[in-house]
Amino acid sequence: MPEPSPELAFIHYDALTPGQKARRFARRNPTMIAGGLLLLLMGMLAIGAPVLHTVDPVDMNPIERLKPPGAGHWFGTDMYGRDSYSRVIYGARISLVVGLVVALVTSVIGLAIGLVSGFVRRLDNVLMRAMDGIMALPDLLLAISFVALTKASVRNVIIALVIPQTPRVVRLVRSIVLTLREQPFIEAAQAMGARLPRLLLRHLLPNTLAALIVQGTYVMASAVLIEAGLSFLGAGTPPEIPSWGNIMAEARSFVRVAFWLLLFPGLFLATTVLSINLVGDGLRDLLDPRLARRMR
Amino acid sequence: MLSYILRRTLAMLPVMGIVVVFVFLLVRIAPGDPAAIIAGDYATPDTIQKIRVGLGLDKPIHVQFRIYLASLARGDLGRSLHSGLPVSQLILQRVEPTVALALSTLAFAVLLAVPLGILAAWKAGSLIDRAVMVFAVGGFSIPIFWLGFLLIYVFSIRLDLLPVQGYVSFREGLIPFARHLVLPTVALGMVYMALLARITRASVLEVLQSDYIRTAYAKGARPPAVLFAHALKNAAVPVVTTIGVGFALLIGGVVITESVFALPGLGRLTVDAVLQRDYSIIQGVTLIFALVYAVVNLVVDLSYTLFDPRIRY
Amino acid sequence: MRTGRIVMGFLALLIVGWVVSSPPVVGQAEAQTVRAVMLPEVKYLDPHYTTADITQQHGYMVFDTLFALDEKGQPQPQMVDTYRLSADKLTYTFTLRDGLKWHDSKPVRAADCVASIKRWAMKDAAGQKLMARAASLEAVNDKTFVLKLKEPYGLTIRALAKEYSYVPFMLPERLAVQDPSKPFEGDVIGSGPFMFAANEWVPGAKTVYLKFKEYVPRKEPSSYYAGGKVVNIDRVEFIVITDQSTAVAALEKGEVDYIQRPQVDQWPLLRKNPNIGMYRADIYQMQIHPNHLAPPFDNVKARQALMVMANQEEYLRAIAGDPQNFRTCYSYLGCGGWLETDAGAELLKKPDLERAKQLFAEAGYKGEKIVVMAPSDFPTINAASLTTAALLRKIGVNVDLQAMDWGTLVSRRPVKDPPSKNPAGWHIFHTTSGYAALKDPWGHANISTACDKAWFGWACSPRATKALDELADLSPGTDAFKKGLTEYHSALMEDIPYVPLGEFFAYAAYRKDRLSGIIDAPYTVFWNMTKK
Repeated sequence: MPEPSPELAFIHYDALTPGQKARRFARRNPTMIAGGLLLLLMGMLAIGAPVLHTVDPVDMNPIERLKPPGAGHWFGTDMYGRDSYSRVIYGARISLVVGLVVALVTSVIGLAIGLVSGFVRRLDNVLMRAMDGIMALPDLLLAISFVALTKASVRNVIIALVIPQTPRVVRLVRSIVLTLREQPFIEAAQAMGARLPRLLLRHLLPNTLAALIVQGTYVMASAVLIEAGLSFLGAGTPPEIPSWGNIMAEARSFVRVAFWLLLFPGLFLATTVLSINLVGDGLRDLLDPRLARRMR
Repeated sequence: MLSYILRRTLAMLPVMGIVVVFVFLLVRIAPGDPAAIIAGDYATPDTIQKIRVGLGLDKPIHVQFRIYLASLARGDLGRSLHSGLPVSQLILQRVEPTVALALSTLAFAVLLAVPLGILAAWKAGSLIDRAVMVFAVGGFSIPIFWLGFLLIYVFSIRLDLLPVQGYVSFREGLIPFARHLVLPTVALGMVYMALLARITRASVLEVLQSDYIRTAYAKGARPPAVLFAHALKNAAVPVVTTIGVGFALLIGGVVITESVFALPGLGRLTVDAVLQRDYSIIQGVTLIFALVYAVVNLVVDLSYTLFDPRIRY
Repeated sequence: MRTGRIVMGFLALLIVGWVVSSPPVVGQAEAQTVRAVMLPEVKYLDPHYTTADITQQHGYMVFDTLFALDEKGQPQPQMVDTYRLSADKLTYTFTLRDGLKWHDSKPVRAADCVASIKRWAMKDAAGQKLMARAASLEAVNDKTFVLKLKEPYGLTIRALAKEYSYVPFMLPERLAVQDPSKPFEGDVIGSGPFMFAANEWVPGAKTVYLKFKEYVPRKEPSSYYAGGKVVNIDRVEFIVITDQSTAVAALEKGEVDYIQRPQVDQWPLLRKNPNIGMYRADIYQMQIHPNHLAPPFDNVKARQALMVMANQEEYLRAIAGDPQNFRTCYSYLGCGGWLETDAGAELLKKPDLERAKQLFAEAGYKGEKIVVMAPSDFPTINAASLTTAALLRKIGVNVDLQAMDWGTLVSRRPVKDPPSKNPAGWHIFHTTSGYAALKDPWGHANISTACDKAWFGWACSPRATKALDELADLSPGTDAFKKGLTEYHSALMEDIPYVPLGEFFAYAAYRKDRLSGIIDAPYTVFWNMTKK
């Protein structure tokens, strides 16, 4: 079949080749594509850190402290003479890993609790009260308390970020399950003898995935930002493991004297969070059936 | 309606209970010894032990909990381990700057974000839509302290327009009060604004595509009338919900903003208390925050009846 | 939407009412208030309760002392008018000045002073040494009290003039008879040149002091902490600004007048500003404290390894940056002070990583984890900790660098067990001592070599302890003194209670277009100061 002209394309959408569909998608959703590309770039920097860095990020060289960006030190040096560029590149690892792990863990746990809570009425009350209790504690304060009171480590930071974010995912999943459980197809499945685990996994779960993915991206963006905030307040990842947050925390007194120390990690952080959010927004617009028709 | 309020208030109790127990255990099980911190640098182990006994921290945990519950029942939040002042007095002293900041940030964000979100939804898919969204998302992505430092540098130091730090009560003059709050409000407000703009856009967009709006057009109604008379009211519910949900986000941001701008508010009180292991303050403040959050949610839920007459309690 | 309009109207009414009810801005006597950013914030108000520097600073505002050191380091009478020492050197008779009043206008009596000395001596090392030799301390009448010793003690007056934690401040008797292991209960009433404004205190944010109008200063001019304490301002506010950049910006804009300890890296910025002046307020000695009870540091060779590995230049650069901010110093007891000596400091003067590695091996180090505690919220100490960790790694030591906040470090310090037995155990931590402490080894807790009763680290050197005791009774300037000092310092260098890493300076910054008459001292002196 000859390639349909662009004017007819919107009628014969399904007749387009995958390549044409992709280009059309890119034209219609430039921000999401941009976000995706940026995120990919960050990911590559993070993975490639052992190869891309110039100096060992923990190497102290007090003679060279606080040098502005220049040859040899593309992002300058910090107050201990460490190379800022290498630290920022390595910082991508921690920030992205923390964001990703938190998003995954909250999604899995939130999904499990949400499915059960939405479907099994007897457990719903108890579970939701518990979720309310956790949600009643402000995010950052809970995280600060947890990390400051235990030990500073990446694992503890992840736990501290998972706890306040999980109830949100639970609420989302639960609300979807609540609307779905009255649907005929669930009744039909039950009439055919499907038992609880099968109902949850085979029938309800797939319908929650779209929303879960979108929520996951927001959780990831939040996690990256809150980790930076935690480090800023002195309760984040241990300082000898560079993360954008604690690089900026260490540099906070130097904002007038060596602003480059704050500039670069801040830019990287903002770009990453921005791109995650753009991807999330794009996904949400795509997956919402009513909007999808307009956005395709 | 009244019975609904009563039911909701009762439902808050078990939630508060969980919060109290959780925080109480968390601070005590964790490492960090307030007695050693209080004793200071040159102190001896002997002194530290004496201080610990003086604060009642040597008693077993369940005994300490019973004592705490008893004082809570009397409405007594206990005394700060460090300064010995009543926690309630400390909270009252510091509540004003935090509330002022929270309210002004709320106003700033709502007044900016809601119109922007409506605009973006109205012109969905266009350049304006994309621009507004990127701007909003960008605001969400910038770390608050970064933005704060930037604002201080530009507006306080370079342009000499606004003060660097501190808080002046509105009772000492409205102009100084406002001047000291401008920069912190903008720094904190950007985050809130981003969230609100996106939700507003999504909500208005969804409403604009619904059947009854198309019917209104079909009946010949003009776009502005459609927007204001029909769409906004129906879109309001999720937006108002977000204002409530974002409140928790606000509290977190308040902590950092108070640090950067040296505002003597509750956020910094809590951070300092956590870093100094001042158990009483940590417990007291988290309890208050949880209470306020629950009340805010109740108010938000009640406000739904204003916007959507179908919602009844 | 009628409801909506009602709500709007209500809100509008609220706002209007609020604006209208704001009182007009009253012109305050701005000229006579000094706003200072002190470090950190005033938490505890009882100077005998905690050694925290800020509490001692608070003490200098609100309380007074019997004696004080002048700029030559000599004790001068302050609250005391005259005193006599009996011929057999065993009895001191002190008479108080006229006109001394507490902030509640009641006169200061000898009984208050007696109770205060006793309370102070319960906690303070120098005080303990003094009272151990005391047979009795009693008030004779309202203005006179008598101290009878069991044996002569040359440091008696010096002890009562101690300038740093714990400073022997005088409290009213009703506060002084309370147990110092708890903060005293009752209003903060002292006899110092300022009063504590309890109703304006916002802990963590602001502390306010007001001029005590009934204070009678001595006639002599001010000299360090001694002499006449004439107050020329009405009000002092200690403002808490934790963020260094914010504090500096506030000083530049005049929102505050003084910063007690701006961080090293802000100094160039401050120096550039024509309105800001700086003075050297203190000299700090950075120290590596090993745990003498945790192998391999129970073996002196491991401690020698630390000493010979330490290149003071390298440490000081990491801590203080520019060479004009520090100086190397091979004396435990401060350079430029009356006890300066570098007897026995050969190991310290010639850093040698190879030798360090060797010594470590000789001490029996077999590759086990060495726990170094690093406080990330204390930039200077953190810098030293990171440097130690880096150097240890260079000589092949398996370092477990544990980052924590200062509060946690202080909580873990008292643990004596090695990390192998107790997860809260530790091998190394770092800290600093101020110049005043360095010049006063009898009162300086960090340098105690009293084994079990020593400071954290539990250094044990009977030789040094004995030498220090004997030094107390010798007169400075004599040959016997020089010999005694050499003996003491050599003992320290032999047993190595901690490793001294040289000295770096601390500056205070102030608006020189507004403040003058600032006295050069580690604790900020607000008397004698004038504000334009």
